[in-house]
Amino acid sequence: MEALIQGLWSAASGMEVGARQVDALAVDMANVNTVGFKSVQVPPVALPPRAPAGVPGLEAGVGAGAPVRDWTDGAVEFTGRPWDLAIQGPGLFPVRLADGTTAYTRAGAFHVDGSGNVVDRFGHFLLDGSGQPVVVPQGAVGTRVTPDGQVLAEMADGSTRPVATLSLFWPQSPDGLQPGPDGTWVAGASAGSVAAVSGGRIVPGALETANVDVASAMVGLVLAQRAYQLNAQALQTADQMWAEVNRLRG
Amino acid sequence: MIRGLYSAAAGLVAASAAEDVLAANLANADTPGFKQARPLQGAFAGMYLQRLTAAEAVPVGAIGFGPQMAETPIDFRPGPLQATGNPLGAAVDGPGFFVVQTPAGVRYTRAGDFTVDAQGRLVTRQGYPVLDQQGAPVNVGRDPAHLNADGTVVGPGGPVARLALAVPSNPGALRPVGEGLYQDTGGAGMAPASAVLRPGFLEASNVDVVVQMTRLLAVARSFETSQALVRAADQTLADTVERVGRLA
Repeated sequence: MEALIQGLWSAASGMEVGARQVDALAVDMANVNTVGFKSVQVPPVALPPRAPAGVPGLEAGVGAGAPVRDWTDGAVEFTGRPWDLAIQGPGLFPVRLADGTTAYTRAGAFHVDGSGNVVDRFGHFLLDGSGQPVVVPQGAVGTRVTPDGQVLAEMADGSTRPVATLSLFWPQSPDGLQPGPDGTWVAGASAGSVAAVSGGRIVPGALETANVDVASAMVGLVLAQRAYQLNAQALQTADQMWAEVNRLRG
Repeated sequence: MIRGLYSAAAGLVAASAAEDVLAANLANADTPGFKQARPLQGAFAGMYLQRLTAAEAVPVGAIGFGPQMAETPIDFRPGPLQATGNPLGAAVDGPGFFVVQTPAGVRYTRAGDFTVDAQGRLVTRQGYPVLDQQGAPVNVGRDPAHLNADGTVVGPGGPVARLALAVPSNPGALRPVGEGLYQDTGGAGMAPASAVLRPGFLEASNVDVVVQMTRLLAVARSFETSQALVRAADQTLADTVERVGRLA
């Protein structure tokens, strides 16, 4: 009897993982228009085998692995707004959260607020390479960001003045980035050290779109749904076999 | 007749053990690097019946005692390849395995979806370091790196290390220990081989869903048959108890 129950649990574990995958795909689809969004996958992982009597080396079921982010670049959409900054290649903008801690973002839709601070759309300060908030000086009529991260203020007299130098940051292990508030990323312990990275490039006047591939998300949805059905069928079979046992007497 | 009861019951146990294997296969129909197991049934050791006469024992034939779950050999045939775009991931072309270090010792895997951990080492998705040909973890560092078809890990400054690949001479001695890892239970004969990899691809599960579902159907029906046999044997027993010796 105990062996029969294991078939039930293996099937149930497959349904569980299928449901988690549908959840992740729903998040992807919902964020298909979110600037800087990175697609997420839930890879299935075979569970360690249990060893029932007489069945050597049986892998009993499946579990959901840690979510894996796809950090490949999204498409670049030109907007012409000076503080829309897309990133191509590895890199994250550092921003200061309300509690004073540093978080990171790829959603490079910044603007200058009433006091001259450069903030993201949730009001978090954009930080420069040295960790200081970027502030546009009084009297500037415009600002410009160069692809290598120089922030230049255009003054009323036609001169330009360097304001700050932006750096892109990247953790040792991007898998260790945890979702933070307002679409930001927070470096957890498993991210390792976060340092300035040279491989990425800033594209001023543009936004990075979500990197969700709708076609493969749809295929993933079909697969996850069928895997769920398949395991529901196996569960039903185990249930029927159990019912047979119950009919042994009577 | 009592023996018939036991044979039928053995059929129930064997079918439910087979159902376990099939359910575990189906649950992993989408697990990268997973290899399906085959539920193989065998007969209990048979015995010869002999009729004892006064002078000698005369053989009258063999008798079986029903099926049992004999073994669950792993089907190591390659699964289909899936493009991942992961520059640090690769599928193995041919019969080789990547070598990884786990707290429990060296293990082997076909799930080549690697990443870099907080210390800059090349690791599996479960965080186990992947070993190079010297048996040491591969330090990738911070810079972007990629895997070549010959197993070399290439950073911006050139080759960093070359991944070890082991080919078993007797794959039957490899036992799955979960998470897509296999353990050499002794005698697998893991020999180093030069890697032929498909970078940017991942080997999907080799579970053949149609075959597994068909087997599941057959197992469920065979279970039903055994159940009917148990009831038949039970009925015969009941008749014996109730009728034999009754006068009217």
